Amino acid sequence: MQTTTKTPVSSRNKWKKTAYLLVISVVLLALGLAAMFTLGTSSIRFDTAYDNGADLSPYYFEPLAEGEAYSALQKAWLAIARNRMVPIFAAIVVFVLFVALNRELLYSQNVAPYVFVLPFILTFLVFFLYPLISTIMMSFQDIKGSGTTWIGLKNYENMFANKNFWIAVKNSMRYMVWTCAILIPMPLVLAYLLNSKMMPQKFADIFKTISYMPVLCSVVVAGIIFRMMFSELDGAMMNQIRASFGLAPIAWLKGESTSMFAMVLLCMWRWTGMNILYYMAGLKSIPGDLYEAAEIDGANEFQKFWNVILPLLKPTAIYVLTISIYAGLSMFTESYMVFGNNNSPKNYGLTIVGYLYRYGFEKVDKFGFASAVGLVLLAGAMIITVIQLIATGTIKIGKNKED
Amino acid sequence: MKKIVALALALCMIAILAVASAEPTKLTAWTFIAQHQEYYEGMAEKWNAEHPDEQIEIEVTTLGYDDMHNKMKVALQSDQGAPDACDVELGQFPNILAFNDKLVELDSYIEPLKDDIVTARLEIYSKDGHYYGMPLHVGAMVAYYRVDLLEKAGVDYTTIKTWDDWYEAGLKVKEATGAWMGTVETSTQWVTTLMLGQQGTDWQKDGTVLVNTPEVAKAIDTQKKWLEAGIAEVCPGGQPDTEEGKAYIANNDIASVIMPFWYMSRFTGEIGEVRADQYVIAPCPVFEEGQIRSVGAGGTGTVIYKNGTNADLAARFFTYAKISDEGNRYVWKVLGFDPVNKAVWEDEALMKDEENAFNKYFVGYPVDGLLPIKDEIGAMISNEISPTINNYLGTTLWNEVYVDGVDTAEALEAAQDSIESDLF
Repeated sequence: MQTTTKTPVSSRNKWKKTAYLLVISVVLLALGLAAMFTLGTSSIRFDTAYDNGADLSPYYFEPLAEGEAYSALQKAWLAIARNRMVPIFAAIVVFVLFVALNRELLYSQNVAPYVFVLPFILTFLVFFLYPLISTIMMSFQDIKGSGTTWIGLKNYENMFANKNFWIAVKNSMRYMVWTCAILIPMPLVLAYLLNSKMMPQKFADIFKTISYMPVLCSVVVAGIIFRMMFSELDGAMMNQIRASFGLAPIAWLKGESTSMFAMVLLCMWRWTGMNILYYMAGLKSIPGDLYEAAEIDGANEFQKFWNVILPLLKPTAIYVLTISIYAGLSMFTESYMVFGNNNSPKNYGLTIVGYLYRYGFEKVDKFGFASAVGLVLLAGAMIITVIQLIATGTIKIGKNKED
Repeated sequence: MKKIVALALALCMIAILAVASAEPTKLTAWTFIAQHQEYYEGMAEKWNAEHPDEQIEIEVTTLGYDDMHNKMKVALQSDQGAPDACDVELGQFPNILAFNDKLVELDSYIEPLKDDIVTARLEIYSKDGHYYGMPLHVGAMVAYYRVDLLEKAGVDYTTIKTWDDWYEAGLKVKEATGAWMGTVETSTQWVTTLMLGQQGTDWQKDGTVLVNTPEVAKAIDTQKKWLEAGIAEVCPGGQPDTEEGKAYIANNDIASVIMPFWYMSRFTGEIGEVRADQYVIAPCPVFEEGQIRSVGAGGTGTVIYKNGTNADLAARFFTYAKISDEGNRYVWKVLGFDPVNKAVWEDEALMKDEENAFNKYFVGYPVDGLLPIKDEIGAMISNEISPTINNYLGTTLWNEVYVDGVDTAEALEAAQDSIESDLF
């Protein structure tokens, strides 16, 4: 097997001969993308204005004075911006040509890894990094239909001074704590029981299937059903359950703790099955000889659970905890569906994302403010998760120094 | 063989495309009320009969309330994907009006019809003196009384002139039948807004929030008194126009419902036959005789998207469908709303048609509850600060005063502060 880490001299020369194709491709791509991003959401308006020979100054360049014309350079740029897809496609064609002329590049060990990670890098850049950067920029801006102005930290000041923001933070934190407190230990115990030899296999299979089914159910459908169950009418399911104990009906969704209960119950109903699945996978990966060894040492069921299973399930539990923290903090659909809209009595169901939605979409001219809310959520979730990962020992600080 | 099949399929495709291109102009519209969809489709048929050379095909999509308004805002902001026309609810109208440069100015379409129309209903959908929304109804607040319950209690509904009379009647109804006299709203403020209009004020004036005022306190204390006397209950679902609210009215004995005139269609629709021949429509009570007995409440203004391909045709069709004489008659027949063209109200043959579903459903004729208040319908402001005010009232204030029993003055002070701090 011939492994050459260096490209042979002859092909390297060929590569150099066609390098201008690569440069052309990059330049074309940069032109097209620059036009695309600078226009942003106003692209269609720009196209219409260009085609109608209307004023283009809202998009590029200063307004023209009487009798003045755009310079040749400006005209060229406007034409490129109007036909921005042409350079992008041309760039692709030239790049394909370049690759076709240097086919050995495809077999090069230096290039291949980059080709394979390219799809991920591209999606990361386009759908994550670019939106993140524009969100950071927008959070310092006042964005109106008529234009955008930089306003410094005003959005953040308004947010931290707003009472509803702190209500939203409190609700999201409460929800997150409750869901973690329930959805970490309970599915673990259930998974342990289902995995136990004493459990009839058939029952375990049926239980697993049933408990997993809610995961497949749309949260919208589930939310509407929960809204009906928790309705304040006498005939609603939860009030009938109360009635069977001789208790008077209550307005579930108008109370602070009862409405939180409804949302946590919805979450529990939906995700217990999923978490059982994670733990089952963890349990199956524990080698049988560890149990045997424990049995030989005379350990009882509880000691086996405590000393063998729990420590070995820790990585699974940390994973479940990490996703639960973020899921809890970013909860929105559940509250939106349970209350029928984003406005709940005394904002008991208002979450951070609900607060973001209220300003970003329900009101106009508050897009910058909503961006600031989104960034605060990101920062908060990141801090909590990092603390959690340090506390559970997944991230080890100063480990290397000690070693 | 395969080739022949492929050829036949290709020909079919071409045929379909050819037919499609000869089809009428397609107009798209969004609404959040299912009844409007049927209404527009009916009006499109009428339009096509009258305009043989300008055939249209209307494609109405019914979306959820929040969903539709949010989609519309994003569509206008990005100038992409907006329909030709969209029904916008009054409370949301200020948000959509922020993009008035992307909406068709309807002045020239409305002008020929303006004299017959309640101008207040046009003005609520206007900005800087230009009209942007096409009204469908007046939305006058009226009282729906349960005649059978009131008779049992020995009350004649026509003698209920003031809120005090209403209160006394409530005590009698409770005594004789055990039924509730009415409901108190916690997620919106139809009745409280009516009470403000009657006292000659509003929630705001010239951009100043007017929540902590003696008039609001009076409206709250009046309704608190109903709760304390046990003649009214906090409405399940927050207000009568919700799924729970409608189920509540259908399944319980409620002697009066104070809602806009358009609520009639909820009776014949969702509440259904169970309450047929029980309710009568009458003017609302007032604090002191001589005050206006109604305000226009709720409503949808249809906006036309300026950059759509058929903006002019859409504007002409919706003018025809919503405010023309023909359209207004159809509004009454199909939707049971109070048409904006008041001349139509006086047309006895139309309004008292025995075959009309609403005349059949209610005791007497609904229009008899409407004509006496013809000149007493106040207009309430809805502008860019209204959504913030309504949001606080509907989520917090009503729950505090009616459910948690917070002191009125204290709650109003907090409300005023909180709303002002939300207006950044």
